[in-house]
Amino acid sequence: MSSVYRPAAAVDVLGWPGIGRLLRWKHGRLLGQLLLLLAAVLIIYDGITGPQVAPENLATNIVWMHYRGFVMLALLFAGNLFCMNCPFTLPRTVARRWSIWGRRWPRILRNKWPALIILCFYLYLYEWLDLWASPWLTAWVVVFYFLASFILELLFSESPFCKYVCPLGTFNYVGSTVSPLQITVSSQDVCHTCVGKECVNGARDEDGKWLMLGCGTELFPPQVQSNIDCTLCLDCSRACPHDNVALAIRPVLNELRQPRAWPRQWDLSLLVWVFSFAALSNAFGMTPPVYRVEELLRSNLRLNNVAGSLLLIFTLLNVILPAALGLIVAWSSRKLARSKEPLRVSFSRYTPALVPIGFGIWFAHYGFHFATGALAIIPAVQNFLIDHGLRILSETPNWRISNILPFSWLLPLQILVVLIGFGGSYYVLSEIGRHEKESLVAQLPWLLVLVGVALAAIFLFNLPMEMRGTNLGH
Amino acid sequence: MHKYILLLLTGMLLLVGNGCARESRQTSLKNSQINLTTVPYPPILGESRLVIQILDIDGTPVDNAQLDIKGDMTHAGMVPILAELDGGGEEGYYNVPIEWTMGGDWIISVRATLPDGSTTEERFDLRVTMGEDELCGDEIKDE
Repeated sequence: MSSVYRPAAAVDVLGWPGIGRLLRWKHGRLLGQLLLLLAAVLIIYDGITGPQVAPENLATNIVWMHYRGFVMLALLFAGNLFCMNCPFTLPRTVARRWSIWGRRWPRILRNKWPALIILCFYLYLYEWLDLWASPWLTAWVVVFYFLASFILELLFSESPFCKYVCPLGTFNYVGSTVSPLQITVSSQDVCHTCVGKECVNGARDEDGKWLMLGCGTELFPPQVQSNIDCTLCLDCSRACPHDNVALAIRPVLNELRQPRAWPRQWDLSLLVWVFSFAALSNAFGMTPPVYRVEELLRSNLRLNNVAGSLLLIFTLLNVILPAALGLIVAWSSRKLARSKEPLRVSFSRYTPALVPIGFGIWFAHYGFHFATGALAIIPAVQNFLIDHGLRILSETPNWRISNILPFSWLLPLQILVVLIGFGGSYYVLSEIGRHEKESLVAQLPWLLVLVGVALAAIFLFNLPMEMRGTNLGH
Repeated sequence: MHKYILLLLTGMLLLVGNGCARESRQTSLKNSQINLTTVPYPPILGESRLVIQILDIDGTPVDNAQLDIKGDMTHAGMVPILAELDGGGEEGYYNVPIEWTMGGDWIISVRATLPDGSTTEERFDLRVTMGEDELCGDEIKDE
């Protein structure tokens, strides 16, 4: 147990005046969830009934620009704040009350494979259906999230939607491993002597009625070493009768450079590879060469529908390439280290080093959209109000309002973010190597991958960007 | 349980009612036709020209219409292209200089106010390419 990393709870955000009290308040999470529920209702309403032009609709503005921009900022500077305030889990209490089956999530699915497959499928649907371009589809994606969360909560005793299914949560879990906040405990001794373990089991009154739910993803705070699977809901803190759960600030990249913070499993490691390579393929999908690749596939493989050609491209870029490259790198590293350890261990050891560069590429991409259009929500709101006969903000929407940063700054900033991500990855790589006492030569294949990913990202961001979405090219 | 269902149904009814009453959903009879093409066609990144044709319900060209043009990309948050033209037109054709700021799919909304005060609006999808060797859409599609 002594090698397990846990941030010291010296800086406990829950102990801060004001914000700490609000976070620990019984209805603290509900407040944030209600705000996001309001946003979700607006998204569904405007997405279905509003103008079907993405820049004019609140659904496409909120979901594909503001949500993604704020999520990246929150992950970088705080933690998994979206999951903390997720409105999709609001029906959780109702579903628990109506629970019709009460069984546990099947053992065979209690891993990251379902989440990995669903994340890949979601990214594919995003490209194939041009979700960002359709307010109507965007609204239905949100409706689907509510339904899926509710139904799974209804059927199973734990919260499988958050832990095993939700692609947003899966993305946020990986991203939050760079975040400065982590759940921990003030005193291990208190947890050792605690009988009820309310943080994970929940707290009930004498009649068996729920006073506070325990951790939905079944994490036990004294054993939490990573932000993976932590929704930051703080139910553990509210349920703890000893007030022993802390939300600690930890040093930058501390989780990633701890070799034992993550279980050495194929599913989790591959998820991180997919997270990083999907950052590239997602950006690649917005550049002109993707048309050429599609055309090549159409002419050479006689794939005449966009669904098929995109499926092939995305399977190749998001699944086959990271899996194959990961195995080759792990095998080479093991060979160079003259080790006989299982390939799974070699594959998992340095995988955390991919997170900073992957996160950097996602940040550069989503940050671009946020920087170019964060203020575009203003004319969209004006348009929304005018459409309802409310001309309180203006007579006509001011469509010229859009960017928050000068356009000439964007490419240099994107490159800078990628380079910082690369620097972080290199730091994590060398730190893991130092902890594990591995030779530099064993790290070389991993370093080559990091350099390759960074160069690919810089190349992609230097390409002229295109916005697709009206099916003209399909 | 009934309380939640009742609340949900009331909320949904309110939203449906409001949604149907939106100004953008009020349809009006079409009293004219708008056609659009670009020069060059297919459009290429950079300076270009929209050629808009306005015909009345009988197919007669209409001059001296006021045009409000808005070009949107398909992703939220991208700066739109805005152009206005007050009057002019020759045999129903109007030339509007425009600069395509980014390649990709664009949605062009043309709102025309005719000399008799009536208005009509059409939307067109088109693809702006990066250059001569890039693939492009087959033709302009009127939604």
